[in-house]
Amino acid sequence: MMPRLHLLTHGDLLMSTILLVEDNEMNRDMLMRYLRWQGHEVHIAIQGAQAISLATSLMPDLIIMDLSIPVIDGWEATRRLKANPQTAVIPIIALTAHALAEDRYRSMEAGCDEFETKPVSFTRLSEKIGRLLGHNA
Amino acid sequence: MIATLALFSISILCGVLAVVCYNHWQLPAARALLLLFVGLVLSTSGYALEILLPTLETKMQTVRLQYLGIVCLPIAWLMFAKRFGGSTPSLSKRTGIMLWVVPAITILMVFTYESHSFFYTQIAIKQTSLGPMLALKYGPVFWIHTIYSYLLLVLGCIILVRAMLHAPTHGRSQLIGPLLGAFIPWIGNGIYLSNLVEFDITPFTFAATGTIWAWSLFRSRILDIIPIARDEVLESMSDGVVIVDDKGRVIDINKAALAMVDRTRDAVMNRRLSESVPEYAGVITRYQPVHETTEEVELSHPSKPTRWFMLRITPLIDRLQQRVGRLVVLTNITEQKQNEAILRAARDTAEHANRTKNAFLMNVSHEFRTPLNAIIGYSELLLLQSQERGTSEFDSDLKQIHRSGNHLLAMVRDVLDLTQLEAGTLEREVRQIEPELFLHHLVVMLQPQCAENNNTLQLEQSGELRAFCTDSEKLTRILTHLIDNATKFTEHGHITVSVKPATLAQHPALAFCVGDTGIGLTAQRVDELLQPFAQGDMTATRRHGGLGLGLAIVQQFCVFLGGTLQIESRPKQGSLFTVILPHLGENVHN
Repeated sequence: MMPRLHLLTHGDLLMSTILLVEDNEMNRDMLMRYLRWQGHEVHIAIQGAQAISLATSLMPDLIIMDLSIPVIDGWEATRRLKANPQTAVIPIIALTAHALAEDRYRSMEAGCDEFETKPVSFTRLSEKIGRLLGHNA
Repeated sequence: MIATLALFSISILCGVLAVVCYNHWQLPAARALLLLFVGLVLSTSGYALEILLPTLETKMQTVRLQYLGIVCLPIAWLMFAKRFGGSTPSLSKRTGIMLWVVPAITILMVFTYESHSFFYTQIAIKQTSLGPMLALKYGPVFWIHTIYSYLLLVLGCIILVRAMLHAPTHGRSQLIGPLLGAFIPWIGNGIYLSNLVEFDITPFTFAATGTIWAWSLFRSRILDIIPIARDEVLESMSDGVVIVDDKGRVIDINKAALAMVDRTRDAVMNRRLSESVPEYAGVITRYQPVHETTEEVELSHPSKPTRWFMLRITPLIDRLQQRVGRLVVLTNITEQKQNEAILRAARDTAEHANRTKNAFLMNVSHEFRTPLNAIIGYSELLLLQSQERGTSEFDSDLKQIHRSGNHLLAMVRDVLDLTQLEAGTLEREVRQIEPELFLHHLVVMLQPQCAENNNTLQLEQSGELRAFCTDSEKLTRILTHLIDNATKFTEHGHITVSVKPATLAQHPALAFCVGDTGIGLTAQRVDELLQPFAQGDMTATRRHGGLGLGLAIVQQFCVFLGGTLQIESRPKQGSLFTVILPHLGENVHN
């Protein structure tokens, strides 16, 4: 766990609750550590259904959603979350393995608010998180 | 009078036939027949004149004319028999000249008959029913010539009879005509010499023979080719030839065919092959009712390796359009078959190896991504943490790891693209896109990359464009490659992306352009770049990295989408890459 003191150094970022949906363990660990280092409270889901139930129960400030997750994929999970008025307000950043405009296009269609390709550039991700949380606030 | 007319008619007929023979000069027996007919024209017209002319002197002049023709006849006869009969060796030039010795002496004696009695011992005129006719008694030269002539006639007959005996069954009928013709003069001459008639009917009989022969010769060219060609061609052929009659019995078979079934000629002649060669009865029976075919057959034998043959069956049709049998030709294609099998196996192995290689490469590419993502991600994480803690001593190393990871990832992606293109496993997934919105997303996505070399990436406004159908995924790959390239080879410059209407083979299309202000390319370099694994400048490999696959991939993707790639470039001024893609029909997608 990050010491509180450390968190305060990121003065411009308020601690937010982020739901990270990612099935690959290494990517999950890496992103989780980055986000926690950034001062966020990170919750984990590894597949679509779990993501939906956690999102509904936790009502996080933001969701980072890998699109290629098992059973209910990221697109479908996004659609369902955006269809539910309760969870529709939660901004979602889509993550895909391939840098395809196609994926970006489709994730936007599904209702994602942002899109990020792997390998994730932390600087870029931070900017997007900041923007979305700022909007949300 | 009637006899005179008949003789003149025959003379004219023989003249006509001589002309026909002359026109068929190239046929082997035609020259012999020409000589025969010329001889007949001289002898018959001379004979007619002999009857017509009143005095002894004038009649004797016509005799000279007649003999010019008569001496030709036996020689022409022999030549014809040899040519038509075929198989015996042809006459040598010397023998040919020797044949003319007796006729030449005869002619000499006939022309000088007044000064000696070697030819005629008595010359007189007697009254007959035909009018005044010569009454002659002959000397030794006449008899020598007569015996000589008969010898040649006998020889000719023997040749024809032998030819008939050796000919294949179906060919015999062709020799019956000539042989019958050959016997006619014997009858006529016998009658004359036995003094049964006062009138010499020899010219008539020769004319009859000549006519029969000419008919035999000209009714079909094949007739004289078969007897001559058969032995040489058929027997020396490596293809097996079998001729069966309409009841399926073998009426002729060549050496090669006998070797194929391992039988002697006597064992198969006039029998059904299914009986004489029982080991192949299955195949033979299968083709018994087949009259015409060309196909490959397999001959398997319990104690021999399997052989393959190209089997051709052709129906034999006689002049009455009746099917009289079949011609079966067998070509051994075993070796060819074996080679084909070897080649096929080699090709299969190569294809399998290539598939394995492609599958391996694809798998490797996919598998590389996860650890690479980790390398890139964790190194970035470390970098951020180290920067935050103010410990900058590892920064340059961490940056190096991060950069190398990205570089490696780009190469893995190239290999994956090319592997998929080469494997031919790609499918077009056509979707409708809003061209400008599509480019906007792409530019947003690639902006940070372009910034690395201090370049700007701009999307040029193109105005209203209608929705466009293409495989948007492949288009993304194309444009990503082009923009990556532009970024790589441009520093502190501008990269512009635009889309505008175009035509491709007179159909409406869209042109996607990527321009840069980078180092540019020479025309030669452009050609080289379109080959996989080439790079614009070999020294650039170290500087810019990459496998040099980018442009080759772009071009192949363009072709895959039915479009073209145009490259305009000037060294040190920049490049403009234009991808013109056709509007594709939309297919099913989720």
